Amino acid sequence: MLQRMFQKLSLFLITAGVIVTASTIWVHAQDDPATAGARIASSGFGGVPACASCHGLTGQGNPAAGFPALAGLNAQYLERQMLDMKAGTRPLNPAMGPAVQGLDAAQIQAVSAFYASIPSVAGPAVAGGDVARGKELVEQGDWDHGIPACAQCHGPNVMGIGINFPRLAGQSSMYVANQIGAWKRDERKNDVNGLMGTIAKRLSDADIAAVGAYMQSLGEGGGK
Amino acid sequence: MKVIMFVLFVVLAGCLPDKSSPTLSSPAAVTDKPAEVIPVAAPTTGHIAPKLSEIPEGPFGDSVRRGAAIFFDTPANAANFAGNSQSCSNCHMGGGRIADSSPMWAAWGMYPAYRKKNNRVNTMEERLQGCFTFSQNAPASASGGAPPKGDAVLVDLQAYIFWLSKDVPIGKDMPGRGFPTPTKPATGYSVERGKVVFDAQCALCHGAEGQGLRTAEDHQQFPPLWGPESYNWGAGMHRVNTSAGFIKANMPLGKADLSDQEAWDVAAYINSKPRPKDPRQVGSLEDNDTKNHDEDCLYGDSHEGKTLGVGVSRAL
Repeated sequence: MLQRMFQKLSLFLITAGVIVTASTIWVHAQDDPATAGARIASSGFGGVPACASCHGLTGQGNPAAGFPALAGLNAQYLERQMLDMKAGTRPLNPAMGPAVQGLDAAQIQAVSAFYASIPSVAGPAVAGGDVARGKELVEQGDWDHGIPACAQCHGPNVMGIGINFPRLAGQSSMYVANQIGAWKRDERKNDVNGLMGTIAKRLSDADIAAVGAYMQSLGEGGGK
Repeated sequence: MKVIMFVLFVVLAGCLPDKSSPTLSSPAAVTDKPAEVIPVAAPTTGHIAPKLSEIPEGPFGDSVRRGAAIFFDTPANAANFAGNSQSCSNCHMGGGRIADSSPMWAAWGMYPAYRKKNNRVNTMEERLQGCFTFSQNAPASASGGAPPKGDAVLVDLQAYIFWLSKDVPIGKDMPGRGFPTPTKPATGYSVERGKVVFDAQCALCHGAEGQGLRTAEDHQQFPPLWGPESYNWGAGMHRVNTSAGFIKANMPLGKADLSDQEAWDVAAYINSKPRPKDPRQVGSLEDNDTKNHDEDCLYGDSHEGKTLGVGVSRAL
């Protein structure tokens, strides 16, 4: 008798479990990509930490730690960066490793779309580095040393253009310096046709700091 | 049965809302190794032009600044005379200060000069009119032509060019003048090979259809290389040798590492595409070909069933 009751209970539990499982899958399957992206950003997924824990729920980043702002960046650009991290052409820091390895292509696309959809917010901020020299490099370059103006590809006020040239206005100066440094040392290799790597090798460390400081000083509105 | 229940538990646990997933709190800052010191490239040959920040105050400096503004963004700052989306700085890189990119400082002291193109001696002012007529396709502009002599646009451009040329000797053929012509490959060039180079190396910025790239605010960031917004069939850049020289020395931007063969091939590909008609054509295309295109260009050639040089116009 006891055994039969246990079997019935088990059957009930299994049935209930199947229903719960199915409904959970169904609910997830009903998520549009924007909702899925927002959930990953705010809560993570499986072993993937919430993006917001480093990049902020409004995508503002963490300038002091060098975590980039993501709000309003081009979705395809963001997507490709994570795919490149997965592929190994863009170096990973300890936090991004589990993030990109634990998300599939559709989830990466969804979370990229989520951050791209958020209006940019970061205002101008002061960082170490020669801001005047940074402005010169960003707007005019230093052609006598083979350095084109950053704005020549990243657009006026480095507000970004298309899927390959991200907005850098308002970006964390530490992040900018870290990335240019990574290109300079051939650790980051996901620039199309090696364009950034070539330029990075011509920039002195002081110029790299100057460029980062100026970009952060612009704020995400590009100084307007 | 216990196994089934365990499996059920695992399945259920796996289906818990994602909110229970661990979040990363107070992540440690990721610090970079100190960058090793890599010496910057040696300054280019020829002449180091003054920087824009050194433009003097006062009426002359104001004219130089206006000239620079026209040079860097011609459609915005010389709108009446811009018949396409090209700016001076698209061909004269770095605002006309870079050696091997037809720098302005190497040109200033070489005018007035005889030009085969119009078979007479040209002043700098006339030379600039030529740029507007051909490279900037002024016939399609609001005014219908290049700025007239004495126009403020030409005055300001000359002030800028003169200022860039400080300390350059008059009449001296400076190293870095014009575009260097890379050795023409013994087997010539190939439009088909050029397409492969273009798609891999150029389309990123200039667009798959050569249309260039505009910002969200509709600013022409990367210039169109063909079509109605590009230079016309009379511009120097339509010559394959001139284009190959520019490309070899300057493209891809900041990298400039194409082989001579690639530079010639991609120059041919770009110049096999439609662009505005040659303003010098008054009669037939064949007559204009004979009269004005005895040079290394594809004008008048038959390509993909069409005669090159017919010309395309802006949609009105």
